[in-house]
Amino acid sequence: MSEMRWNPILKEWLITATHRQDRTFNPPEDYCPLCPTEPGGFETEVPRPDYDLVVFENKFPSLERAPREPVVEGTELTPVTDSKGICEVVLFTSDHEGVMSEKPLSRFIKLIKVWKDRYEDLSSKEFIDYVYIFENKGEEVGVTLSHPHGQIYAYPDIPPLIEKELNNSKEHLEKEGSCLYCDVLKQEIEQEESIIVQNDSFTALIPFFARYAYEVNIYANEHITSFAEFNEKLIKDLAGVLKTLIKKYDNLFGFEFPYIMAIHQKPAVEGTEDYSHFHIEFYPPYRTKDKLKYLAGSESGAGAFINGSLPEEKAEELRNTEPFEICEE
Amino acid sequence: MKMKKEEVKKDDGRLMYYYTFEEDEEDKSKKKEENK
Repeated sequence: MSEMRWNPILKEWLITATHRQDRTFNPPEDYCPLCPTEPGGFETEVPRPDYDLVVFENKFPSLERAPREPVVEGTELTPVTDSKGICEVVLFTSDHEGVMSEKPLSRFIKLIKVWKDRYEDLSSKEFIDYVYIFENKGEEVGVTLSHPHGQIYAYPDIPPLIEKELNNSKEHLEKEGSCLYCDVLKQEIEQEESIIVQNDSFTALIPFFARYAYEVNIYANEHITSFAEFNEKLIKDLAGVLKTLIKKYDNLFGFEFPYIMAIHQKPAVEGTEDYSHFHIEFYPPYRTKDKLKYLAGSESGAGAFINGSLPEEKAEELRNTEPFEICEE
Repeated sequence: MKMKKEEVKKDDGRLMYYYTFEEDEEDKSKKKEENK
C-alpha cells in the first residue's frame, strides 16, 4: 500500500510504501533481476539476451502512475492523498560485475544522454513537479541489488530538501541579484583549496560547508539549470568529471567507494530558472578507510550535521589521488 | 553518438525503454584519426 500523509509539524509529505518490504533483497548472483534474460533461463526485468542501457518502471514503486486509493482517511490537520508519480530504474550496463570507474568514457556519455531523455520526458508530464535522478551505491547505503544501476523518482511536488535549497537560492537572488550557486562556486574557485577537478563546463569540489568527509559537489560552471540545456560538449565534459571523480573515489582506499549521488536541477515548474543551478551532490558514508559516518543524535534528531574533518583537507586528499588529469577515454 | 529509444510495455503494464547508440560521422572520423 502506498499513500502520502501530511506532517504539519515539518510541513512535508511522508510517503508510505509498505509493499516495498517484499522487494528483492541481495539475491544470489545467478538470480540477478537486472541482468539480461539468458536463453532458457529465468526471466529477469529485461526479457532480452543483451542490452546497452535500459530504463523501466520500478516493480516496487514508492510513487505510482496510477496510484491506488489511500487505505486511511486523513483529517484537516493531517491530510492524506494518493502517491501519484513515477519511479524508474536505470540500468547502467548489462555487465553485472561492471565497475563504472573502469568503463570507457562512452558509457558515461550514454548514461548522461539517457538521464537527459528521462528528465525531459518525465518533466513534460502535467502531474510531475520534480524529477530526481539518483544512485545508491554499495551495501553501506542500503543497496539491495549490486548490479550497476540508479533510480529516478518523479514527484508530484518539490521534495523538502530541494524546496529548501530553492527557497534559499530565490531569497539570495532577490537580495543580491545573482545566483546563489554561481556565487558559492565563484568563492570556492577563488579560494582554490576545495577544488578537486575542473574542465571547461564543470567543477568538482568539496564545499566549505560539507556535511560528509568526502562529500563532493559537481557544479556547472555557467548558470545551467538542467539536463534540458545540455549539448554534446556539456555531456562530454560532465562525463569526464564524473568518471574522474568516481575513479578517484575507488582509488582513495582501494575498494569500490559507496555513495549516494543526488542530481539537483530545475523543477518542472515555470519561473524557477533564475535560481535553479544544475549540480550533483555525492554523500559517501566512509569518513576513513574503515569507519562509517552514521546519522546519529545530532543529525537525525536535531538536523545539525557534525563533520569530523575539514573539507579542504579532504579535498587535498582527493586531489592527490589518481587520476590527476580529467579522464578523456 | 546518436541515441535511439524503443518504448515497450511489460506484461504487467509497466513501461520500459531500451536505449541504443549509433556512432555518427564525427565519432567515426575521430576513430579514424586515432587509428592513424
